[in-house]
Amino acid sequence: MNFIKIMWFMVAKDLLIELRTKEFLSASLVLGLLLVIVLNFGMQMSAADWIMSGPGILWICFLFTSVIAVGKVFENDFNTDALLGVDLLGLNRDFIFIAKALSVFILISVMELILIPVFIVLLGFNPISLFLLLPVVLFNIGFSLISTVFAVVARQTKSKDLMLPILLLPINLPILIAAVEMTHIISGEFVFTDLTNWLVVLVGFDLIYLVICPWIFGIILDE
Amino acid sequence: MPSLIINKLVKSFASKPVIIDASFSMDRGESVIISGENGSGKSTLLKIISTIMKPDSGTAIFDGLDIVNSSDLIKKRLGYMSHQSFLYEDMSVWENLNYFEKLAGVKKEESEITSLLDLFAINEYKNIKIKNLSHGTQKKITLCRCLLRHNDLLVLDEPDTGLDIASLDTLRRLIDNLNSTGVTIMVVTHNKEFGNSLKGRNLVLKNGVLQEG
Repeated sequence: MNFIKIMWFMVAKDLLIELRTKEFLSASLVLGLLLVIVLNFGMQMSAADWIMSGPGILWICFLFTSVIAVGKVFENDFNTDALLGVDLLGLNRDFIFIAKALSVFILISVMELILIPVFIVLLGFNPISLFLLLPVVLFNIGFSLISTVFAVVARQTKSKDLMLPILLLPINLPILIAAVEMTHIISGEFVFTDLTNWLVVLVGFDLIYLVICPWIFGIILDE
Repeated sequence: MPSLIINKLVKSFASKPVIIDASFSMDRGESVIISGENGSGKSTLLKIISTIMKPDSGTAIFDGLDIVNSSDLIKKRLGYMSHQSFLYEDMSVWENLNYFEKLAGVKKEESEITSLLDLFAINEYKNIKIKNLSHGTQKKITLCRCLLRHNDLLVLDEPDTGLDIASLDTLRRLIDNLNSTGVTIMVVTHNKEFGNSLKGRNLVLKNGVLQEG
């Protein structure tokens, strides 16, 4: 069976389950809203302060809610070992990996689309510009790839629910820093060369993840 | 020539040997019923044969393919039923079977879902989510999942637990029918009555060694 069909079946299944349970979107939204509200009351900042700190706060919200996304996307696969059932069909593991990463990508992108307006309304910080798509899309790609691997790694540990965020937060630090810096440049004084420097970093990490993550995923499934 | 040849399989966990010597062979279309005490390594043996776990030493060859080195090819010809259902709890019976059937590459016109659900008399549950079904019904659906495509080797870990008498009878007839079409089947069971009712060789895993029962 071809790659596109397998991807479609697997991603559609993940989206169908999320549409039914709405577990991820509700949990992410509550966490995102809580973070924004606490930050709104906790930090009395002027408009100029927001230009400095806004990108960091925005990405903290994105990162924490994205970590929840990974746990939720894999919850149904792990509860009854269904992912093992899929693997035992003899499918190419690269296909399984890309399909799971795509599910994570779609869910975190939807969550970010919902959170940005909340951010604008509650904090008065408006990061929207066409250029913002660059760090958001590239971060989401990198995060989806590396997190799909670490979701399976965390599954192998004793305290899986605790291990997942512990593993995901540091491993995503390089792409998080690059995304924050890019957002900072986009929402402040736009310097094209600075932007391209961080763009290279983000694209570089995405490419590295794209090459090594499917390979590691296959090895971990064997363990 | 035997279809499945297991030779001196050894498996330990944290230096504790679970399987010390498992050696046997099976002809195509034959059934083997494996019994043994809890923790004797029956499920471990099935996991090794199903390519899920690697042995510490020894070989397992199915139709000339080494189970460790050719696991991708073996998987395409294998049906494995474990204690876990491998089903998505928030999806209905039909959605689950349809999903696994499509991923297995079964064509729409060759779909066996309806006939399998009829076989176990569970067609009425096809639109109900897995999490809302009883353990026994889930077990039947798990069996259906294993039978969605034609497999040459069927590995069933306690398929009888939770099944009612009528379903046990259906399962018994199903195993006989599959054997007659050339499917090689390994069954682990604690149910002596069920094990004895199957047409096949009995093996016992005792103190890590697999013996004729």
